[in-house]
Amino acid sequence: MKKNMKKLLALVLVLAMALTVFAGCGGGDSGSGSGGTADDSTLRIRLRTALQSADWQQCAVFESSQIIWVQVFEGLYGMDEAHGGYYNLLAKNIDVSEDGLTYTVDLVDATFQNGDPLTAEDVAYSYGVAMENPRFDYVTSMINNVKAVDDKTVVITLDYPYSAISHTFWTIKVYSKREYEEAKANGVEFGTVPHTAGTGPYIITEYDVSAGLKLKAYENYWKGAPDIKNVEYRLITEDSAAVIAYENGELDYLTNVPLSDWDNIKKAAGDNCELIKNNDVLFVGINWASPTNNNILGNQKVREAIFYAVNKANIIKAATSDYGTPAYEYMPSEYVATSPKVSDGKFKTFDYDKDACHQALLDAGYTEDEIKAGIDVGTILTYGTETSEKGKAAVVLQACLAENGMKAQVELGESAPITARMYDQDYDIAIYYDSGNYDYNNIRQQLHSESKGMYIIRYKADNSPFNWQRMEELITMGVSTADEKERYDIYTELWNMTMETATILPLYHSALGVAWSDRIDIGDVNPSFYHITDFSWTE
Amino acid sequence: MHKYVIKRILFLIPTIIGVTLIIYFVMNLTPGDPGRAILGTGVPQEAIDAYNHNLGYDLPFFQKFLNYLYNMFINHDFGISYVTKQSVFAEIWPRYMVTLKLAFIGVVISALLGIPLGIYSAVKQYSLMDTIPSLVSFFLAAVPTFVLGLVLLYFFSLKLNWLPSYGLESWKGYIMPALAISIPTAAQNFRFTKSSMLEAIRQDYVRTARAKGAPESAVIWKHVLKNALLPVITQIGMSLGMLLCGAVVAEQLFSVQGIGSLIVERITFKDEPIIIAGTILISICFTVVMLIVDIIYAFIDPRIRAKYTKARG
Amino acid sequence: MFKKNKVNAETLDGYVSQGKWKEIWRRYKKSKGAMIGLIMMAAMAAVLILAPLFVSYESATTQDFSLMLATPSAEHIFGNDGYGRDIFARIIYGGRTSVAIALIATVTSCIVGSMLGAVAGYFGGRTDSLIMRSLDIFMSVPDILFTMAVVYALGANFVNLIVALTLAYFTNYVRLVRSEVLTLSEQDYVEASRAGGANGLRIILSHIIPNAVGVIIVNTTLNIAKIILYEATLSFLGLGMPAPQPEWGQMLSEAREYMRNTPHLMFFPAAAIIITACSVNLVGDGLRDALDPHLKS
Repeated sequence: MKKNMKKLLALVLVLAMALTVFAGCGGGDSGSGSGGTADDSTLRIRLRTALQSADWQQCAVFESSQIIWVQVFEGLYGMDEAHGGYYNLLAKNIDVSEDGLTYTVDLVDATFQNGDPLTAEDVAYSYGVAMENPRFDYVTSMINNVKAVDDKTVVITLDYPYSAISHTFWTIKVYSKREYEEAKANGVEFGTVPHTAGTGPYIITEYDVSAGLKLKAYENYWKGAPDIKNVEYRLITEDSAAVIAYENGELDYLTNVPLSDWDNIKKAAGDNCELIKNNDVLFVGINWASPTNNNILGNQKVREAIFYAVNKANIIKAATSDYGTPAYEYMPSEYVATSPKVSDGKFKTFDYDKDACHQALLDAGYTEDEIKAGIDVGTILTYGTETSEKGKAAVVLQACLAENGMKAQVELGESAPITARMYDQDYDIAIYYDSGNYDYNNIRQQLHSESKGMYIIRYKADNSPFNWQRMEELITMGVSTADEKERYDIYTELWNMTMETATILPLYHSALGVAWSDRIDIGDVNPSFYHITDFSWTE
Repeated sequence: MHKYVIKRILFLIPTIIGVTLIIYFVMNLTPGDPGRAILGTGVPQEAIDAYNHNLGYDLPFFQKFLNYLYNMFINHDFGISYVTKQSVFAEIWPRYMVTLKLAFIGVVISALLGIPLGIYSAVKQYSLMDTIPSLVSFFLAAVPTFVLGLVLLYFFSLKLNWLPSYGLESWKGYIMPALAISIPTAAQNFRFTKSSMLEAIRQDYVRTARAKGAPESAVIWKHVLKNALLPVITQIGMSLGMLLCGAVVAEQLFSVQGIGSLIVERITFKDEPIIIAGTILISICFTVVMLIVDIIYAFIDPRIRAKYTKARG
Repeated sequence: MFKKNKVNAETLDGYVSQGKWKEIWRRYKKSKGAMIGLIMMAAMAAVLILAPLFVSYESATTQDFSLMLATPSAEHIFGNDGYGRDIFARIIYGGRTSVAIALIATVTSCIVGSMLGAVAGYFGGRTDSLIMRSLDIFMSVPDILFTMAVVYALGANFVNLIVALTLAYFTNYVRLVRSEVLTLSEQDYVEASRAGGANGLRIILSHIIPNAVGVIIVNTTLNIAKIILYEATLSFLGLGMPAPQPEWGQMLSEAREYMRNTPHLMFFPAAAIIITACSVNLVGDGLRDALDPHLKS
């Protein structure tokens, strides 16, 4: 017995030691070191969440699209917000017919990463695939037909003139038909393993959802081989760890720097960092049809009171460490050409105004006592954790309302169930977010009843107090008008109408912090999509 | 004895089915549906319904559950991830191994730290070598894992720049996550071993042995340790559960691509196949370890052994 | 024991326990650590209960952005958080929430677990194996995953957190009470009242539970500390109490992003958690030693 036990103990100990040793060595041989000194020719970029898919259609996480949509695949158009938006990419030239319904596209002489030349057939095929995917309805629903007329010419016909077609040309990427079909025939879900089906400057060499991602330059890239030959994405889930990794020289490029750490980054980065206005917006939306407290939110004056109570400055302090910009526009006008400009003063705005708020509540028929006791306006609903920007904005909004005689609850949850409730108009006050809009037509998703997007405020209804007919008319006019000046006027009228309803209030445009190592030059900072081809080694 | 072991092993099957049922049931209470989560904004309801239908998400609960069990046991197939479209098993397995490796390193460290110190401080009760570890363990058992992890991160990565702040690329990467999860467990092991030792020291046979004039070290080694360490074995097995709890936090903090961080990440997307399979795999691991502990226990505890030997004869 | 039939079991029971508690208290007092723990716990309880006398609840939620992330000062002795709220007030009111969740979850898991354990132990046979086998299954899911799944499925709020924590913790008590009951069932006074025709439930309630109370108390105390730590973990994973009602774990996870430049945001809630957990553990250990005399020489 005693011997048995001793043996057993000894065995356990030996096993334990073996495990430790095995564990210690196991990782050691795979390593490029603990980070400090990486291979000189490898660019190291932080990845916050694992790459979802190597297929551009499957990238719902923005960070994944930043890689797959730009570095690996290409569309007819490219996107560069720092230099005026869309530019010709795979389309050498596009001719538009008089009626605005037929687009004739000449393709450049590009080759796919697998060596095949780019043909019109590939483009037509890729558009066909995307048009069958409901996720891309918002950019393909106006397309009637895409046809290859010869090797290098594609003709795209629309159902109706559509001014924002550039956004479609940018969004839809081109697959190598041969490789995409082959993957399907082999029963492999395309995008789950590395492929060479794009024309982009970088080829995925290693893709493992858990381990990370490596890219290498495509030497025969049609615009010329990129300067940076190897790229390694490093998965760092914790924000503060990413900041430390950058400070310790373990990263060459860090985007979306946590704003509470911006000072630390600036100290470490010196000139190699930049903070720019992001192409995004955080909103408050009010569901005027909500039954809460006898449909209190149906009262225009109450909604106005809520908007006057919103202290954007405080929200910006809490949510963005004071780096955000107060928002009045739906999309930042510097990034979106036809966006109404607040500086023109042609649409209604709400600013923090305690007196106006109080007056609006009195106008709504509430007594001083009722206001003092706090009027119940329902629940502020948003998604994300309480430490996310939206969560913080909700907490500040609640305090703003409380300060001005209104009571509200805060409810936070995971994005999937919460956004579903917003689409179903099952909420009182919502805080939500939109980003990556490059064309003002995207406002359609917000305001048009037939939109399949973020139509969370039901303007069109039998008992609607709003002139939704005119709003939808303006949207349709905007879509079919080619002239930018005319569109600007149409959209200004539309946005003014929207603001008059007191249902949507833009809160702020966030700030985007980018830092890079002194080993590289990155050119101009772009808010949404960076291009590794713009980067170069300094030495 | 064999009968006992076989019985225990066979009980694994209903346990796994039961665990699957519990997890499957709880996840089924979650609001939202995968179609909405995956297809995202801008997609018509019909498309979402069709998507859910293809996944079999609209079937009645028990039918879904039986399908799941069937696929799991018969086809060894945990389904396809809603988010990445990859085979759940292929995605989870490497991450499962990472977590197991981390947890087992944690078990070893916490046992090696906690048990010898516990023995020593019980033997030297009321000395400085008892008070100091006792106080320290008291303190460490009360620190939330993520606070401990953050302090380690700032100290070793930022201030000293000795250890990488993320990942498991080299052996250095293991140090902080392993410490973060094993320190609270070590504190618990320490306390458990100490009290188990103290209990054994007070037993009659120890007094008898002392009275007979046996040297103190012999008494401790022969009589006390043998009895005191029996319950400690169970404690080590149980501590795996605690380590897995810590692993969920530590993986997130140190960017370790284990199963805990995977589950936390996919919860946002309502990626049920991953969450369910991840939870089941971890539970199976825990169950198997507890089974091994029980069997070891049965072999070395004379009382249990006697019971089963008699029962057979 | 020859007079067994004449002794009224309940009187005997009462007599035994009265003397027993005095003796336990005498032994408890001897331990310095246990007394320190008790004093700390009492002080903490006093502060939390009398909180409205020191600070108003409003000061825990009032935002003052001119004081955002301010360091401790005479007016705000613990400083201010990322919304300019007074950290001291939040610690006090947050403590009320945290401790309330821990206490209620402990009590509910204790009640559920003890009852199941008592039933299993007392009735034995099929009831016992049914309960114990289901329990084995329950215990196979690690606490954290189980709680995460439940909170995620039901949504994070006061009640659901308690439900989740109860489901994760009741298992401890079942085993504990069952084994206690198995020992106690064979005791004379239980047999006496059984012979006297008392039914099962009555015996469990009036004899077995009161006598197992010592073990239960020790475990309950130690569990409170665990649950407070657990709340912090859940908050870290984004599954804790929703804002803006203060709670310690939530304060910790809010402080996380500011830890580097303004560490006091994290220091105070962490200290509150550590002090509470330590004092509760000290009391628990003291009680265990006092209840189990052969542990102390």
